[in-house]
Amino acid sequence: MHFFARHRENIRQSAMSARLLWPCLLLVVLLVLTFGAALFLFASLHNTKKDTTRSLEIQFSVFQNDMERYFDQLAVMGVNLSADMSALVDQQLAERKIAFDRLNDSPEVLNTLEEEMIEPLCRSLRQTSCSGAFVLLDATVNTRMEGAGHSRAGLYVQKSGADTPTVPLLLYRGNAEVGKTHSVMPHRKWRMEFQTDQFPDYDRWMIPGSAPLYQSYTLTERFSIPGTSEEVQLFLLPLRGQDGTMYGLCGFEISESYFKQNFAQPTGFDRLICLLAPAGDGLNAGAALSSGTTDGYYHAPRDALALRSMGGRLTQLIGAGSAYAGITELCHLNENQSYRLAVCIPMADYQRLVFSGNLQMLLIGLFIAFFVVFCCIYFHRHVLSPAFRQFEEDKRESRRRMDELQMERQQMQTELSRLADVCRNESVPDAFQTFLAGIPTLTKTERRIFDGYVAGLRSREIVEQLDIKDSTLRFHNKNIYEKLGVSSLKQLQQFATILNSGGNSAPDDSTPGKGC
Amino acid sequence: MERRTFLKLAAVLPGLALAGCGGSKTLLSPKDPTMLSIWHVYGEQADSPMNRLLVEFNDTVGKEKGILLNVTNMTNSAAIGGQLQDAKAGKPGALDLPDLFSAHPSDAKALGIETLVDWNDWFTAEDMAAYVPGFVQDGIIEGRQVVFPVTKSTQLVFLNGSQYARFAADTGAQLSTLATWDGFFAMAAAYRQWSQGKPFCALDYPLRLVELNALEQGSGELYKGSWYDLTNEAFRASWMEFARALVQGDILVSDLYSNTQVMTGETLAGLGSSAAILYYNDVVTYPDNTTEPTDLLLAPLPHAAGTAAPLMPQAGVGLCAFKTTDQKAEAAAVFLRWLTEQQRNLEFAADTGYMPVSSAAFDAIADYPFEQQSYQRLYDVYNAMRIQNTPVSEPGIVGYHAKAKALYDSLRQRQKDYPQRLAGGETLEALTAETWQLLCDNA
Repeated sequence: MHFFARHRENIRQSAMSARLLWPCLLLVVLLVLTFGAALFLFASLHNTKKDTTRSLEIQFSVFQNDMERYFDQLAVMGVNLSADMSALVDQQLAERKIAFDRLNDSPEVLNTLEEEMIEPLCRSLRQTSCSGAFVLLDATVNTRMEGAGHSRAGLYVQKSGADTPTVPLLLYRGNAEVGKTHSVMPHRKWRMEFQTDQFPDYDRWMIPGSAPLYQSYTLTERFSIPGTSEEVQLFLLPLRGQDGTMYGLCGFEISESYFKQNFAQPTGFDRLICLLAPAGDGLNAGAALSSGTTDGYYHAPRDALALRSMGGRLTQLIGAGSAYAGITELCHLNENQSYRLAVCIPMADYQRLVFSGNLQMLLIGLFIAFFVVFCCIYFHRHVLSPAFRQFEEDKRESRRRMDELQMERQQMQTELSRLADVCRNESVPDAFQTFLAGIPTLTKTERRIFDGYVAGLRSREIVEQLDIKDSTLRFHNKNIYEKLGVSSLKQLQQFATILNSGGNSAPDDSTPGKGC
Repeated sequence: MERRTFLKLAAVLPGLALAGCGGSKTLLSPKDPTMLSIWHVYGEQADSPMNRLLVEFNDTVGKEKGILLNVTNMTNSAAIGGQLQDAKAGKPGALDLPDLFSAHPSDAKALGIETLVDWNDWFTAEDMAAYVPGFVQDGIIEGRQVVFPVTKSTQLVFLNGSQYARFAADTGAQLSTLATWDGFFAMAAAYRQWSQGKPFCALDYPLRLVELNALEQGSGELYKGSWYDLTNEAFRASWMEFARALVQGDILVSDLYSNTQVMTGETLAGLGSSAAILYYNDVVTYPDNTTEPTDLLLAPLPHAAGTAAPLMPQAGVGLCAFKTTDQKAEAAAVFLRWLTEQQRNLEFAADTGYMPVSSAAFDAIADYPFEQQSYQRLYDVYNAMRIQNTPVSEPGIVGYHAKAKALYDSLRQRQKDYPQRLAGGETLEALTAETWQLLCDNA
C-alpha cells in the first residue's frame, strides 16, 4: 500500500504529459486491437450471400463430379455388357446357323440364350453401382399371343435391397426357371417378358445406328416400373450384332431409392436437394431423380421449377408452392444428350442464412461500437477527467500561490518603504551603522560575496558565480557576519535592501563608513 | 413505476409466461424439422401403400409440425430382424440403423427392449384403449409396449381361379374341401394327378401351419427353449401329415414367396399371409408366355378335422423406435397417431390385405367398399374366420425365425428330389422321417 500510495503521489506530482502517456498508449492499443478484430470478423462475414453461393458451388462441384464419374462407370460397364451379350447372341446364331429374326417363336433358343446370359448379367450387376441390369432381345417366345407386338424376351435382374455384395437378386423379367436355377428368385411382380409399350421411347432406341458403342449410350426419362411404386431411369446401350443388326437393348437401372441412398451428399446445410433432371427449359423436378443429405432433412420438390438468375451462378428455382436457391447447370452425357444437375436449398433457408449473416454483422458492429464507446467513456472517466481535475486544481493552486506571492511582495515593498522611511527620517540604528562601518573591512572575496547578496543573489548563485565551494561560502559568510555585525543572512539581506533602497551604495572598502 | 405496481407485475408475468408455454410442450418445430428414417415391410418390390402414406404425411402433418419420414429400407417381415441385427452389429455393407422400423415382437426382444421406445410414455391408457386389445397385447414385452400395432394379418389359401376352374370342372373339386387339412391334402393329391405332376400349393410358413394343426388336435405346449418340444407326439404327427404331402410332391415350401409360384403357373395355390394379395399380378404367365387372368380365389386356412376349437394365426409386425431423443420419439408418436386414425388405418389395411388395429376400423372393415373383387373376397373370408376362429399369436422366441429359415432352406434343397426318390423305391416313411430329422437337427 505504501508503495502504491507513493506511486500515486509520484504520479500526482509528475508532469501532466507523463501522467497521460500510459493511459493514452493503452487506449490506442485497445482501439487498434478492436479495429483489428473488427476487420477480421468483417472479413470472414463480409458477404453471407457470397459465402452461401460459394458453399453451394462447392456442393454442386462435388455432386457434378459424382455424376460424371458415375456415368463414366456406367458407360464402361455398359459397353462391356453390350459387347458380351451381343457376342453371346452372335455365337448362338452362328451355332444354329439362323438369322436373328428366327428367334421369334423359338422358346428353346431364347431360353438357352437367357441361360447363357444370366450369369454374366448378374456379375455385371453386382460389379456396377446401380439397382438393376437388363438385356432385352427384340424377339418374343410367342408371336401368336395377344399383345405379342409389345412383348420382348430377355432378362431383367434387380437387387432386392441395399447395394451390398451379398444382396439377393430378383428376376423381374425373364424365364422363371432360368432364374431359379441360378438362385435369382422371381420378383413379386414378375412377368416373363418385357412390355415395350411401357418402355420409354423403345422404338426410338431400336433404330440402328453406326456410332461406336462408347458413343451410343443414353439415359431414359424417369418412369414407373410396372407393378411397383419404384421410379427408375435406365442407362441404355444398343445390342448390335457383328453385321450391325439390332438385337435389342441392354443397360442398367438407376432407381429412385438407389439414387437417394447412394448420392446423398455430406453437407453443412440443414436441407440440401440434389437433382438429376432431363435437359430442357426450367427444371422438371417431377421427372428428376433426387437425393438429399447423408444425415439431414430431405424433401424433394415434385413439380416443374422455373429458373431465375439471382446474380452470379446463383439461381432461384421457383415451383408452384415452393422456391429454392441453388446452382443448376446443363451437363453433357455424350455428344447427343445433356442432362440438368441442380443443387439447391429451400429459399426460406437461404433467406434465413443471409438474414442471420447480416444480423451477425450488425451485432458485431454494435458490439465493437459499444466497446469503443465504453473504452472512451472509461478512459475519460478514469484518466482524462481526474487529470483535468488535477490540472484545474494545480491551476487554482498556482493562482492562489501567485496571489499570495503578490501579496507578500506588496507587503515587502510596503515594509521596504517603511524601512527606507525609517532610514531617511529616523536615526540609523546602531546595528546598521556597524553594518555600514564593517563593509570597508571586507576582504576582496568577502566584498564580492557581499555584493552578490546586495544584488539579491542566492547562496547557490553566488557559489556558481564565484566558482567556490559551499563550505568556502559558509566560511566567508561567517567572516562577513562578524565584520558587519549581523547574526544571519536574513539580517544581512535586510540591511542590504535598506542600503539599496536608500540610494546608498555600499561604502567602498577604501572609504570609511558614513551615516545616512 | 410505483414499487407496488412493479411487484404486482413481477408476480403476474412469470405466471403468464408459464401459461403460454403450457399449451405447447412439443419438442417439434417446423423451422427445425426432425427426420426419421424408417424401415418397413409394406409393399416390398411392389406398389407400396405405406410409401404413399408417408408422402402424404410429409406433405401435410409432417410439414406443419416439422417431421420428415424417409424410407431407407423396404424389406419383408422375415428378413427385417436379421437386417436390424446386422445394422446394430455394424456389419460391413449393412445399412445404418433406422429410427423407426417394422418388427415382430421376437425381433424387438432380440434387439434389446431397453434400447426401444416404450410407447406407453407417449400414449395414455385411454389412447391405447382405442386399439384392438389382442393386437396391443402382442406388442407388450416385459410390461413395455415396445411394438406398436399398425396392422395384423392371418394366413389364407390363394388360388389361381382360371386354372382352378378347369381343375374343378374336370374333377368336381369343391373349395369347401379345403376347410380341413385332410381335404386340403386330398385336393393336393388330386391336383398333382390331374396336372401330371405339378404341386398343388406352395406354403410360405409351413411350420406355423403344423403348429396350428397340432394345437387344434390338443398338442398343448409346443415349444422348448428356442425350438420345438420334439417329444410332443401331436406336433410330430402334425408334421408327418405335411411331410407326406411334401415328399409326394403335392405341396412345396415356397421358393421365396408363394405368390410368384402361382403367378408362374408352377402351383395352383399359395398359402401365405393375407398381405400377399398386394403382390398377386392380374395375370398368370405360363412358360410359353401365354397368360390368363389370375381371377384370384381365396379360401380360409384349413383346420384339423373335427376340431372343437378352430384357430387362426395372428401375425404381422408392428412399429418400433430406437431410443434416441425425445424429439424423435415425439415425432414417431405423432406419425403413429396419424397412421392409425380410424379411416386411414381402415384404408391402409384394405389396400394391403391386413386387418386394421383401430377398434373402430376393425369393426368397419366388414362393410368397406372394396374396388377390386379379389380384395372383397379376401375380406369376406377374413371376416368369416374372425367369427369362427380363435386368433393365436406368433411365438415371441428369440432365434426362432433363424432356425425356421434354416429348416425351410434345407427342405427347399430336397423337395424337388423327394417325388423322384419315392418313385425310385424309397419308402414314404423313410422320406418323411428324413424331413423330421431335418427339423430335429435344428434344435
